[in-house]
Amino acid sequence: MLSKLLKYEYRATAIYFLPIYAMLVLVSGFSYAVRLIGHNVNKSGNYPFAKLVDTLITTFGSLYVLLAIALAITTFIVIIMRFYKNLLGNEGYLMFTLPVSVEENILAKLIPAITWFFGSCLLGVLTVAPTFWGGYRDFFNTFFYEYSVKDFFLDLLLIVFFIACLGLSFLFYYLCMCIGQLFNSHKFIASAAVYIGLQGALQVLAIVGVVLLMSFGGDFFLFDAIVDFISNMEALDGYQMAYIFFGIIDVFVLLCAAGLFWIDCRILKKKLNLT
Amino acid sequence: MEQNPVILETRGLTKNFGSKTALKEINLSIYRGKIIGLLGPNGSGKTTLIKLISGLIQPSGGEIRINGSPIGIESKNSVAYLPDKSYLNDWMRVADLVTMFGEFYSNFDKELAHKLIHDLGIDEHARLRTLSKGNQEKIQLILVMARKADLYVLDEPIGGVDPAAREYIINTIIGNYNENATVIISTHLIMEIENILDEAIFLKNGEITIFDNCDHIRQESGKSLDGVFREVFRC
Repeated sequence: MLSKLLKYEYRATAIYFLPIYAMLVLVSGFSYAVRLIGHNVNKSGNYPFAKLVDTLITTFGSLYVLLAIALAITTFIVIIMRFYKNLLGNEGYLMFTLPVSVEENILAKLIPAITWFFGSCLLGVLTVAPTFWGGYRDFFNTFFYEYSVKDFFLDLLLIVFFIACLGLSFLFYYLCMCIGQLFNSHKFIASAAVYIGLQGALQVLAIVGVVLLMSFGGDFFLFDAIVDFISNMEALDGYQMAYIFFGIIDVFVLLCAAGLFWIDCRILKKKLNLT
Repeated sequence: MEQNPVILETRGLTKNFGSKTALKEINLSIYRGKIIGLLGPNGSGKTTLIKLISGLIQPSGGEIRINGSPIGIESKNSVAYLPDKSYLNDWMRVADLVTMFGEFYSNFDKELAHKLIHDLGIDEHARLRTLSKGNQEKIQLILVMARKADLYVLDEPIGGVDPAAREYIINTIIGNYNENATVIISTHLIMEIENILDEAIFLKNGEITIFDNCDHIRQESGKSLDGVFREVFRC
């Protein structure tokens, strides 16, 4: 059933993303074409025309930035509203009476949300080069100079980290909405209040944690273990240290995401309140 | 496999919203093959009971069993629920909605749905949002009634529609429900559906005041169901 839910979710969300994607590609294409023309014009020494080309390059560049901002805002709003409207609004009357599990309903929102966000970033990377660098050669030379297999594995860990962080963030938004729907009225405002409250609480918790660790860390057996571990890492090269560091971080973020997923499911299973 | 004669059973079912009790200790055993009116004025707890049966809200106390099982994926395939509001994705085309219901509900009769939509003269390629409110409601009803469910739970299906639409809705319900199934219709427009009801449940302030066979209610009171309703719920 998850594949069916995903099919309808991708269809429902594509209508928001694909037009902006198409516009980004078009603007990037035009910008690239104008840069090519400009290159030839500069060679020929036709200065009035070169000025027009410069104006066009600036215009397309500005348009690109505006579209990128629109895409970022759209991505954020669609991810929040699809969960809220489709599961906790009127459409939830259908989604929660379909013979599917709560887990499937949440995953059917989470997976497309990550896909679109990741897709938007990838498209950004692919279109930013022709728009501002006039092609991929300079772009790749800037960012992928002396790229090795070791870099590839490190990037792989970074991509996992990026996706896990996205999942964690979206599940956190979902958690706030799941708690907000427990209220009998003004549910969206309640969700926003829960978000602000939880964010504040997490920050306070983090500060208290750091202060406690700095004050009493030396007495903790775990603290000694961490210090020993870091000392031993001196024997490793930079890549190995980065692999271990990001490997641990990846596992930690994935575990946190799994915990949030479990809490979201638990609330919607035991406390669903579609009023 | 032999079917459970009791399609819906509730024991001590209670629902509180904050300090307000919407349903209090509801005990029901509803058998197959009946059309049952869930009758009561606004705020009596009809929609709350229906949402509990459909799994859209959770009870504060007591339990519900559909076909002997608690509310879950299995019960959702057995219950066909029509809410009292628009709940479909209105950007979808009518034909896509039929396909969607067919993909998710194993007991959905696509041919019947297409036939009923065709009979109404609605263009299946039209997006739901482009249809009139009345036609949107009819599409919702058709999608629900085209399922061969064990229990149909219809929340105010004839509320807020014109008399001609009411007639269409009632005919669609009695013409298409699975005869081994039970239909629960919530309404306060009793005169319109009195003739098709086998049993009636009167809800008042979250409590059942009458649950009986309609003929018996009429015999005992010497009044129509509508007359009994007016007496029970007199302001």
